[in-house]
Amino acid sequence: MVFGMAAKTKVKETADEDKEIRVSEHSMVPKHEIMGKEEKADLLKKFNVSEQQLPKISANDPAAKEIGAKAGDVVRIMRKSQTAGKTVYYRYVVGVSHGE
Amino acid sequence: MVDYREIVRDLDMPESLKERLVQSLEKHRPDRKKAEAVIAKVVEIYEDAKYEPCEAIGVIAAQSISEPATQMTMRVYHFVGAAGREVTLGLPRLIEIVDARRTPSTPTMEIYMDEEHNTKEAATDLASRIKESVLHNIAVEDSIDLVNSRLNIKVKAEDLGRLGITGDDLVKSVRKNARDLNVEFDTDTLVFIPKKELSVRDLQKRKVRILNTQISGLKGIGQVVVRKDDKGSWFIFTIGSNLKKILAMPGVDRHRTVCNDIREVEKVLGIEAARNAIIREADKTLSEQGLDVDIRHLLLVADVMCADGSIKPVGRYGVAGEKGSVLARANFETTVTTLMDAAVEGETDELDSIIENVMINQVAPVGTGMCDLVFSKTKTKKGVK
Repeated sequence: MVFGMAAKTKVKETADEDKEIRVSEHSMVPKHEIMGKEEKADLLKKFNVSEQQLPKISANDPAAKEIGAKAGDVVRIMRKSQTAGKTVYYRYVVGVSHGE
Repeated sequence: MVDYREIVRDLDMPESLKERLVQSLEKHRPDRKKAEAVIAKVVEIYEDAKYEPCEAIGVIAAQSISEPATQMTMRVYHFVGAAGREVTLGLPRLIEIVDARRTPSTPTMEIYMDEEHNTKEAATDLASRIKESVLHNIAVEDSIDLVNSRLNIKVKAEDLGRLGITGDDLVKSVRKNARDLNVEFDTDTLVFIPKKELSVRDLQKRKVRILNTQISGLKGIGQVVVRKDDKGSWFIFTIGSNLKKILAMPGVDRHRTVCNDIREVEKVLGIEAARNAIIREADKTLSEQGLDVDIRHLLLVADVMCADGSIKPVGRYGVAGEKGSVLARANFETTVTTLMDAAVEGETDELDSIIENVMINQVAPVGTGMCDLVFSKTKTKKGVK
């Protein structure tokens, strides 16, 4: 019963997706890109951290969805910064959003 | 001619600083040797200005925002612009932002028009179409016909044209709130005929419900004002927000249109946009009050709030409440409850953070307290002892 309900909601969500706007067009959304395997390994080595220690982004996040990021990927975010001009930020893609 | 850009390119400095350095070098045109000396000096000053590792920047950010915020309390009530729209500002607004409230007390939007539609007419037209209208707003007369047991609601035809809806649309939207009545639209009057016998009192009840039917616009958009910014772009300022639907509308600039509801921005545009919204809103709130808080402090707060992938409030239910250490949480708010819960759960505290060490009067791991002695076992074996 619970499964049936979950499936129903899922279908509705995908139906709504078609109407969704391209969020990357918006000035408040910086450029997101999925990092390759090697790049990812280099990054983790450079900062001496594990994936889990990176900031997170939900796989359901509109910006992550748009580039097709899956749980387990690391996303590189090219932010425009008021103080530094350009900065690079990294987020680890997680399946479910935390703290909700 | 010396290519200053080339020399500066590989420096480990922020882009904006490099850009400014190049600009001023190009203005004064020193030779290569002098330029390199200048750059070396700039790098030195930049390195000096950087925070040392282990500096307690969180505390500094907290103080730098909170002290100016104490100056805010006394002047809270403000009206924005000539139209007399009251918008939450000042301290209440700042608290709302860091608490990441689900619904801000005054959600607003600034809807910009795209290049083709950057005219007053287009903006006014869109404004009237998005404003949420209920039948009540356009009804000029409503009456109950006691003889025939009918309900008549008279509307102005020009109002319908202004809202961009036809009589058929009107019938369609009121029908869902009048299931047991037949609806007809006759020139300028909506006629409701009960499907089965209804008492006058029941008709009265139906009338109230029907008058409150939404007939046009987007849910949540209360007031609309068309304005022009200093760069000559027309935009619509609204009270109430519906970011998702507005962005999907034709004629709207999907690049610049913004909304002040941070949770809504997170839902529609994602966590990075929400971070930008927090910074924008907090900075706007502070600078509106003439307070000069360095944006870096706000950047740090926004980053901490968004680190988890969803917005966490700063406080007991968010950032402070998710600390690993029991004593650190107990130190913040609701001491007894926190300690009781920790005792029930059988939590342990490693005493490896700042506030725990302050409590037990030990060296706290900040600044120079972060240094530790490392003892190598292998060397001892070789006979150093």
